[in-house]
This record gives sequence, structure tokens and C-alpha cells, in this order.
Amino acid sequence: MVEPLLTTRGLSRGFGALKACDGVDIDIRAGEIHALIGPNGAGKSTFVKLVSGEIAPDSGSIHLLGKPVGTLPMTARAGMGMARSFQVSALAPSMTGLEHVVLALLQHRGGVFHFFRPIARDTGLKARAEEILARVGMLDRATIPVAGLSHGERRQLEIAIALALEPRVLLLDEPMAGMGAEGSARLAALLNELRGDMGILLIEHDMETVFALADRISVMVGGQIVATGNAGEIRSNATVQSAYLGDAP
Amino acid sequence: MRSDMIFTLAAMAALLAAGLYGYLGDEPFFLTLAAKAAIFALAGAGLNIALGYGGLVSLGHAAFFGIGGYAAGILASHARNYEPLMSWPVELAGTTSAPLIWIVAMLAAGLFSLPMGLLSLRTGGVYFIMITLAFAQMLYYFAVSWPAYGGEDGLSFYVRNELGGLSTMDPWSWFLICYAILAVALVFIAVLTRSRFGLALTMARENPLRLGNIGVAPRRVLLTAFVISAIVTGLAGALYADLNRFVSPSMLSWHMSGEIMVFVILGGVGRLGGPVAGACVFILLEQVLGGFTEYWQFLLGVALIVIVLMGSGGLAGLFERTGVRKAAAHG
Repeated sequence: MVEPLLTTRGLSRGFGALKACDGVDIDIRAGEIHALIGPNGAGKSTFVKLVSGEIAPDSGSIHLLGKPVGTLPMTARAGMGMARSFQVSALAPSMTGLEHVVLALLQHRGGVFHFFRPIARDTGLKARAEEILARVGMLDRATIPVAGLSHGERRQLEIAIALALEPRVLLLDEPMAGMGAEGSARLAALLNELRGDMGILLIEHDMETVFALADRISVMVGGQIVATGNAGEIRSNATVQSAYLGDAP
Repeated sequence: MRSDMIFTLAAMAALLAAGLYGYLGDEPFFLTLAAKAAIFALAGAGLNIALGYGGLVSLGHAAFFGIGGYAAGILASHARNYEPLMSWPVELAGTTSAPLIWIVAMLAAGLFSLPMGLLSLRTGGVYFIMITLAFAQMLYYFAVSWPAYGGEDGLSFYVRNELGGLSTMDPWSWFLICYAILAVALVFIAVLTRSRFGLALTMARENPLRLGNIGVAPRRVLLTAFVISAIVTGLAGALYADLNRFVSPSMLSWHMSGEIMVFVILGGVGRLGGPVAGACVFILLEQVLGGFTEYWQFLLGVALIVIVLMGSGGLAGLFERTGVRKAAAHG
């Protein structure tokens, strides 16, 4: 079997007495959409922060493309092909969407330490950025500073930035939150398209979307993975039903 | 961006007009003031890279201003006294060549800013202000207590340093030299802010977490900006020493840091032409109000409060808003 793109083993992190992540084992395989579901406070966002390197784990390991990355800084993991969208949009208010995407593209195009050449002259860069913005449906709003964008548009831009990093592993923390029906549908279609190109970890509350999109689903409750399987297996799993899907025994 | 450019050109035109007035009216004192304004504008433009574009509130830029000044003073005084700077392990002589002095001043300021930036960037907010301040004060007290170069009394040298065949003691030539250097520096900053680095610097200021997330360490970007900022302010220090033919520890004091910050805030933080307008208005107020009363700095304080309360962006911000209103009225 092909080695998974991302593997965590026994990944744990506590905050005081609370075990936000407690021995989490997850694999993300090439080409799959792996959904992570669970009630609020289950530790899903903590898991994403651990994997992306925003916070350090207490114990456990993270392997990206077969290499241990548990102690590497966020920037190094990004350089190895990990991209993440934030649950709450993290953007620069005065910069346009186009500028955000261009900046993200520089990662694989010589970096940012170039002081003289005007960035506006780099037409190849701009064309590629516009292509990505078109893909998320943001092209017509590309030159408006982020401060003037709606909540849903900022969410779309988050996805565009993540795509511009040309990731092998994409971590999406509730990408559809606050997007509206049309935006959600477009994003679902986009994720479907991207499925073959990279491994995607999707945290999402809308079960319909999850069951429609995900190849595999892991259910997290109280910091632990209680079940992993395809949509059918998860639907019929008794533990999941009692713990999460709301069918009280 | 366009209004910033118009404002910058207007401020530079006003400064040139002031110089021309001094030249044609044969008022060397006026010309010297104009040269001083150009030098202060350059110091402010340096700080603006850190403060305006990088969001780094440095209260230690007097360190770079003073280092530039002492670099000029020390090199020149050695050359004039025919004493080598050092004789071991290599013999190194002083110099009165202005371009060489400028390069040394910029290098020295840049080198000092590196450890200063590395340490202070580990912190943020008010701690960043305090650490930059502490670094500058450290140098200040060192200069006061170091007798070799005049200590507290400062160091004077009698003739300005040399630049090709130009007569640097002629106020008009000297003004033009300072003005030209300021113009080159502003062009450099304009280019810098439009480059890849400029884009990353904006992101480092507004959302460092996101910058890290797309694979760029924000601290490296900010440190680079801090060093560039120090180099520009260091060059201004060298020119200031030449202007007065004198350097003293006061160039290193936190009072100087505050003054440089006033140029930037008065003129417009993060606006290319902000420091130019700020320095010109500062010197104008100093002369005009100083003529009425010894307590002109009190009135300067009042002016600063009014401008800050009227909204961000200082004079440049005011210009932008009136421009927008006019455009709206016409449209």
C-alpha cells in the first residue's frame, strides 16, 4: 500500500486539566478527502493547529511525506507542502485578494527576498494568481482590499491562498462556515475536483456535505478518535450514533 | 497609492522651492535650514520603513542617526589630524571623502541594528519600544563617557567632507547634495514597497500568522526591514554631522529618537512623503513659533495632538481625505 501523505500517531495536547487531543492516530492518503467530524469542543481545531505547527504537541508524532515534522516550525511544514485554511479568516485588511494569492505563490517561485523588481511587472505570477482566483469564483473581486470583502468572500480567498501554495496536504478547518448556500455548493464542487491532486483533511459540521464528499470519515469525541471509516460505516456505527449523531440510545 | 505619490511630489517640490528661495534671495541661513529639513526627512524616511511599513514602533532610531554622525566625525577628525584610525593589525587611515564616509556610516548603522533587531523582535508592543530605547540609551551613555572623541562635549571638525569637485561648504551645493540623496532614498523606498519584499512586509505587519502559514518567517522579514531602516537613518546621521561639522551625544539621545518619530507621525505614518512633509513642517514651526516664544515646543505639542486626533495618516492623511472629497464633489 502507498504510504499516507500525513500520519499522526498518539498525538496529544492538553490545556491544563483538559485533554484537547488525546492519542490521535490519523492517516491522510494521497488523493482522498478525509473528513474529521465531532461535536464542538471535541479537539478538531486543536488537531489542525498541532498538525500545522501553530502549537506544539505534548506527545506523539507527525509525519509529512514520510518525514517527522513534529518539531519543525510552521514555515518549514508549509515549505514541505502543507497548506491550511483558518477557521476564522486570517488575512491582511489592506491587501487585495490578488496580492494575497500572489504572495502565497512566491513560496515555490524564489521567495520574497527580492527588493527591486516591481511585483506588478511579473505577469506570469499575476496570470497564475488570477487562474486560482477564478477557480474559487473570486476573480471579479480580486482587486478589492480584504477590508471590503464579505465574510463569505474571505472564506473563498482562504481557499485560494491554500491552493496557491500548491500543497500535497490541505487542511481545511470549517471552510464553508458562513459561506451561504451558493458558496458552499461551489466549494464542494471545487473540493471534488481537487480530490485527485492532494490529500485533504476537511473539518465540517454539515453532515450532508461530509457524507457526499468524504472518502473516509474520522469521528472525534473528547479528544479521541472513536471511529474511522467510509460514509456507510460511519452512518451505521453505534458508538458514533450515540456519541455524536444524536440518536440517543 | 496615487494620492501618496502626488503628496510626495508636492512635499519635495515645496522643499526644493524653499531651497531655491534661499539661493536666489541669497539667504544662506535659509538654505541651511532647508538642508536640515532634507536630512531630517531622510532620517524620518528611514524610520518610516520600520514604523510605517513594518509596524515596528522603534524608539531607538537615534542610535543609527548618532552612529552615522560619529562615523562621519571620527573618520574626518582622524584624517584632519593625520592620525591613523588604527595601526594594528592593519593600518587604517581616516578619510574626508564623503561617499566613503556615507558607506561606512550605513554599514555601521546596519551592523548595529542587526543584534538590536534580533533581540527586540523577540518581543512585541510596548516591550519592543523599551528594548529599542534601551539600546539607544546604552550608546548614548557610552558616547558621553568615552573621552577619546570629546565625550559629553562632542567632536567638531572644521570643514565639511569632500564630494568630487563640489564645494560642500557652499550652502546651495550642500542643500542640493542632501536633497538629491533624499530623492534617491525615496525612490528606493517606493521601489521597495512595490517589490515582493514590500508585499511580504505588509503581510508581516497586518497578519504575521498568515505569513508564517504561507512559508515565510515573519521575523526574518521584519528584521530585514529594521536593518534597511537603520541604514537609511544612519546615512542621514552622517549628513547631519557634516551639516553642523559637529557631532555630540545628543544625536544619540532618546530625545532625538522622539523627534524623528514626530517627523513621521506629523507627516503621515506609512506614507512615502510623510517624513518629508513632517520634517519641513517641524522646522517651519520651530522657526516661526520659535520667533514668538521660547516655549514653541509646547505649541508643537498642541499641533501634534490636533493632527493625531484628526485621524491617522498625519498631513498625508489629511491630503488624501480632502482629495477624496474633491473627487467625490466632481464625480
